[in-house]
Amino acid sequence: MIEFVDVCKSYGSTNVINNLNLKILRGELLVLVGESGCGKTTIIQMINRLIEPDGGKIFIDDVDIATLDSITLRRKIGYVIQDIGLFPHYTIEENISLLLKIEKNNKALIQTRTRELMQIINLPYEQYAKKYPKQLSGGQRQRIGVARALANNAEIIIMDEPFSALDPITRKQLQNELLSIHARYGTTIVFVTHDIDEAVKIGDRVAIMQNGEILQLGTPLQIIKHPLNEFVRTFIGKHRLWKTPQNILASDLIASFSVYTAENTLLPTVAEDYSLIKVLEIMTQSQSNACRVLTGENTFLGIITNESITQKLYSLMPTSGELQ
Amino acid sequence: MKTIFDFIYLNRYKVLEKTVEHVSMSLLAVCIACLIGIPLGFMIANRKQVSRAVIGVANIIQTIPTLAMFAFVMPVLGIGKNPAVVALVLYALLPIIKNTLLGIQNISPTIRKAAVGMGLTRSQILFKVEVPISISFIMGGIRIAAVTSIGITTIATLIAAGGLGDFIYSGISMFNMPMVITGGLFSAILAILVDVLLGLIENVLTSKGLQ
Repeated sequence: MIEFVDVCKSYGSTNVINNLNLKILRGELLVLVGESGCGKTTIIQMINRLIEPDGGKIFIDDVDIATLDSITLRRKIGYVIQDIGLFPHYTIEENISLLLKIEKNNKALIQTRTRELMQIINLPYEQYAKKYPKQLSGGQRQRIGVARALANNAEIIIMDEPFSALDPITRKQLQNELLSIHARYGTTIVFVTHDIDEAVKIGDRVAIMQNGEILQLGTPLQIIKHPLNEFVRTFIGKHRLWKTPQNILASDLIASFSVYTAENTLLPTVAEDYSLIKVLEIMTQSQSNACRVLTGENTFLGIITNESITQKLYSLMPTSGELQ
Repeated sequence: MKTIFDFIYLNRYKVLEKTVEHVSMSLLAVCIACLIGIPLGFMIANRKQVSRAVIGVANIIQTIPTLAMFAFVMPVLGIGKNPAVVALVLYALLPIIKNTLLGIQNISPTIRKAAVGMGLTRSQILFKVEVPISISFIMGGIRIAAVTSIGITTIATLIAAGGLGDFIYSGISMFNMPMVITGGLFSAILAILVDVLLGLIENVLTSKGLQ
C-alpha cells in the first residue's frame, strides 16, 4: 500500500535516512521504533509530504506521491502528533468536523459522522461536543486528535509518538482503544514511538531503527525471539522473554540431546505452539520428566526434558546485576 | 460647573460637529492603519529579520513628538484634515503591527503543524486558524491605537484639522475655561467609550476556548 523505494534524506551533511526501502501493507499497524534522532519521524512526515525526500520515491497504491497535490494527499491521510495540536478556538465538535466542513459535506452528514466518531473514542457527544480543548484532560484531548484523524475516512493514519506525553494508565487505555479502532476499520496505521513496550504491544509488525536505517523488521515475536544483533537485543531488553513467559513456546524448549526418542509414545505430547506454562502444566499433571513435541500435522518435532527447560530458562534469566 | 453645562448647551451643535469631526478623523486613521498594519504583520511574521526592521522603523516613528510630527507632515501635505490623518496613521501603525506579530508568534508551532498536516490550504490556515487565534492580540493593538489616536487628534487643531482640540486651544487663547474643559471632557469621554466599545467587540470575536 505504501512503498518507499531508495528514499534518502539529509540535512546539511548529516544523512537522516539512508536508502530506505520499505513496504507497508494494507491494513497493517506498522510501528517504527528507535531512539530519538533515528529518522523515524522523518519517515512518516515524508508520507504526507511535510518533508520531501532528497532522493528515491514513495508510492501509495502504486502512485508516486510526488506527482499528487500535497493538499489532496494530506486530506486522505490522518495525522496524529504528540502535542495533539487541537485548535483552541474551536469546540470539540468543530475540531473533529473541520475537514468535513471544508470538503463541503452536507450538515446532516457532518453531524452524524461527528457523533459516530465521538462514540468510537468514548466521549459522548451530548457531554463533550460543545466543550473547548482547554476543558479536557490530556488523554481526552488525544482521543479527539485520533477522532479528527479518522474524520475524513482516511485509509492511512500516521501517528507521531501520539501517546508519549500521557501518563501510563491513560496511555494503556488509548493503546487499547487504538487497537480496537484498528481492528474495526482496518485502517493502515504507521505509528512512531521510542517506547519498545508500546511497539511490541500494538504493532502487527515492528521496524527497529538506528541511524536512519531499519535494522530489523518483523512481527513482535520474531524480533523478540530472534533479535538481529546486539543493538536490537539491548533495545528490546535482554530479558523480555523472561518477563513474558507466554512468548516462550514448546518449540523453543526442545532438548538438543535426550535419551528419549520419537518411539517413546508413553510420554505426554504437546503441540509446538503451546506456551511454557502449558507445557509445565501437562508435564506436572502427568508426573513425567519429559514430553514429546508434535507439529500441527502431528509429525514429531523433538523432546522436551526437565533439563532442556532449565537450560532455556537459565539462558534467559537476568543476572542479579542486570535486574537492578 | 453650571457655566460648563451652559456652554455645552448653548453650543450643542458646534460641540456635536467637533465631536463627529474628532471621531471620524481618529477612526479613519485607525482603519487605514489596520488595513496596512494587520496584513503587513501577517506577511512579515515568519521573517525574523524583516519583522525586526519593520518594528524598528515603527518604534522610531513612535518616538517623534506629536507636535514635531505635525510639523514634519505640514510642509509636504499642507494643512487640514489630510496631513492630520497621515500623522495619526503613522502613530497607529506601531501598536497594530506589534500586536499582530505578537498574536501570530503566540500561536504554538504544533497547531500550525497540525493544520498543515491535515491538509489545510495557506488561506484556510490564515482565516480558520491564525486570525481567530490571534484576534484578541490584534484587537488589543487596535484598542491602544484608537485611544492614542483620539488623544493625539486634539493636537491636530494646530494644523487646522478641526476636532475637539479647537475648543481646547481657542479656549486657552481666549481664557475661556468652560470651553477648554468641554474640549478636554469630550475627548476623554470619547476615548473611554471607544475603548469600552472595542473591548466588547473583542469579547465577541474571541472564541470562548481562548478566554
